[in-house]
Amino acid sequence: MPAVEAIQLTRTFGPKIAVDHLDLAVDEGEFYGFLGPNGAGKSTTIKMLVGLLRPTAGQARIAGIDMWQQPLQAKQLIGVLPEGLALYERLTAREFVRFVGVMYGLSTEDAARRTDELLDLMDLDADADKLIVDYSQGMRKKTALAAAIIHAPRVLFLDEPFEGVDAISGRAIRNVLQRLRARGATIFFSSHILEVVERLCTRIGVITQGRLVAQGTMAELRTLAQTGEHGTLEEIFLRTVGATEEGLLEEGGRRLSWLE
Amino acid sequence: MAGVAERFFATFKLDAAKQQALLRLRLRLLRRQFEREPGQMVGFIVFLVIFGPLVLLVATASGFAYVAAPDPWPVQVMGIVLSVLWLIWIVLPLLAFRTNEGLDLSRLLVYPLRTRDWVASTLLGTLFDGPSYVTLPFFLAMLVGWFDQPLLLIVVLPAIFVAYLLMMAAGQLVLTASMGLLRSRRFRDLSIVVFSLLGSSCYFINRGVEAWARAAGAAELSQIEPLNFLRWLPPGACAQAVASASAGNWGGALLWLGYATAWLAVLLWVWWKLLLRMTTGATTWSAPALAPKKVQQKRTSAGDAIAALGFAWLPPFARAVLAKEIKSIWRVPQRRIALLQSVLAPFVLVIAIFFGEMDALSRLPEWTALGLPAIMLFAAWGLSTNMLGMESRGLTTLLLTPAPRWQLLLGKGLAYSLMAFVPTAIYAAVLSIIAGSSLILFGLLAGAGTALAVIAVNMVASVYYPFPFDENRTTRQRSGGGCATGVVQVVFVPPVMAVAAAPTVLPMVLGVWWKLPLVTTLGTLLGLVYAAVLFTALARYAGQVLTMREAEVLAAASLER
Repeated sequence: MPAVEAIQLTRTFGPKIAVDHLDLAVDEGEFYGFLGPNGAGKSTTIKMLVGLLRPTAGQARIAGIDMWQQPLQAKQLIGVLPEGLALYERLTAREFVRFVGVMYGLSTEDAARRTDELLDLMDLDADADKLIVDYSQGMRKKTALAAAIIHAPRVLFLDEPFEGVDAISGRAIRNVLQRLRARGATIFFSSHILEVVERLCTRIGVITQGRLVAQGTMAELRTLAQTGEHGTLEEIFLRTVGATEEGLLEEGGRRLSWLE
Repeated sequence: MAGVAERFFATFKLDAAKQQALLRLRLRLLRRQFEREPGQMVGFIVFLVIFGPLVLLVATASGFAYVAAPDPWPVQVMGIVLSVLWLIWIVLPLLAFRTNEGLDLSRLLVYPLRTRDWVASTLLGTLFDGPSYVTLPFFLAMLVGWFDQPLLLIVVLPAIFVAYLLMMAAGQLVLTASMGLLRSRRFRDLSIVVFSLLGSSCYFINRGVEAWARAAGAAELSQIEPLNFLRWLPPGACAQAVASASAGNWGGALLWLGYATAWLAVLLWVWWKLLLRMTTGATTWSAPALAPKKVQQKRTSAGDAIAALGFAWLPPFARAVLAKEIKSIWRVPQRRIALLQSVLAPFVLVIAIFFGEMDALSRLPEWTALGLPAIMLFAAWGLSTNMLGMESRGLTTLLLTPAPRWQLLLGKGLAYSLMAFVPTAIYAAVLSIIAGSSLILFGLLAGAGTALAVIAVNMVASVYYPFPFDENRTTRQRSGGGCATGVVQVVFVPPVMAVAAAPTVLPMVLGVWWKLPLVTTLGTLLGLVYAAVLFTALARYAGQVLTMREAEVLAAASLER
């Protein structure tokens, strides 16, 4: 049974089709990278999969449980680092992570112990009792990640976990994700940082204009995009979304005549 | 016109293109402020309708004083007017800093601007700011007031001009010097609370001024000549120059004008230096130097302590939400206002009873008992309105958790009940002891029932008609939420609340009216039981609705539009 499954998942906003009959299955223990250009439908898809945005049509399932029929049971299995982070800015990081732990059913003592360990791991212990509103972007992201994993979810959804994060914080986050995966968790994440996706993910899906246009391991994607055996993810990505390097250069040159 | 502007820029060796670009930017930001938030335009129009005529009225009155008041009052009034305007010029930009991006000079730090261009563009930009429009009618009144004395105008005109420059320079200096503070979250929080409590404090200020005026006596007040003190302040010196000239002391007038101009030079020089320091070092608005990190001490917050001690019987999810909600109410400034108002409201009631015109003490128990439910109604209403939207960005996190939704609402509702109840209970206990009457305590119980009923109604309203709330903005809520939401919250929710709360209060009212203590006692207790049942039942119902409507609630309360 797939850990994450989208069946004909569709979302429209007025006349605009943001996600168009998307079929997707991620197996348990996979590290699935979800790529696409800006506005391709990545965040919309993730929101529908985790129960934040109602699909216009189709189904979203977590470990076989329909997210929109049995939302509380499905949500028990997942952890989410949502777009925009969704933090309680007037709580401290310690209060926030502990609160989320209790809300996922941990005992108060368990939540407190895990919070301390997570904040220590994320190098946030020195600032753990400062209000989140006073945090930098990297600190916020680490706090949100700590909250997303405190209950050791079976499936972890991450929307742009590395955006706006410095190298040190990025390394800390990568280490945590690898540890989670080693424990058998399924990780579904979207990112614009292709080298991280290439390094971490076991399988990658590319979405553009709401449709999944390519999916597979790096080797499978190289074959599909005909980039040769040393093709990078960037080359694969550009080809699958229909943007060639020559075309981009030509377009840039045409618009910026003063750079000739 | 263009030629005049170019000559002006050339005279002061200013970059004309940059000046025009900066001026356009300032005007555009001012306009966008209203375009982006149409609600601000409505607020501005309401402000104009209320305060516009008031400013014109006061300016006209000052004009009459210059013409008709006996000596030495014309110049005394001028001194007061200039000093008050000067204070307005200093204070208003500080208060408008959050809403007018044009006032934030730090955004221009990255561009290659010379300090002279910066100073000039900032001063020119102030011509379009609010204080200029407030000042203009007063300056016109001065010119009209002394129009019939052409000789005196030789001093009045430069005095007004210097006073205007002093206002601009002082305002900009304070704004620039405080930039670091103004950009801080703590200042923003404080300004939200202070602004909102200004209205509540008017009552006390009014009482204080009345008492002081009575004590001082009219005769004594007429002997005070404020210019004797104000003339040492920069704008007061301008008025003193006019006073000296009108007394025929032209040398004195020149000296006072010189004194005011010296102030102007000092203020401009300090401001210039400050700007120079910022453009080269960016010290004022830079973050404090990095110090070695200290591991902070863990503290148990009041919310956690209350939840752990008094509410151990609650399901864990509800208890966690209750503790979180108490912290949020205290820490989110817009929500703290509702709490502070629930603390102030009973205090105002006490003041009204003891210092009002009515024969208070003899009817203290009845008035207090009847007043407490009303106080609790407004406190609970203010605290619990839009209870899901008030989660702001955290709502997504809350709804991502698998906690039963009725427990979320139960925890939130109990937090509001507690916040509305505790301050009122303290006052009620004190008044009950003073009056030696248990009726006040029944008023408190009826009030508690009212609060529960009001919160229960708001639970249901919040799952059907939530609206966005941004805790990082200066207003209590952002405009929006849709027409239907506005109509429901304003037109339908209040009568439903009144109907829902009626059974909690009516028995006490009827008992007091009919002088039947048994009706009061039994009826109030039954009313409280009814409110508790209603509260639990509606929490369950709203929880069920929320489970099915989470996506819609999130969309309605979303800050991203």
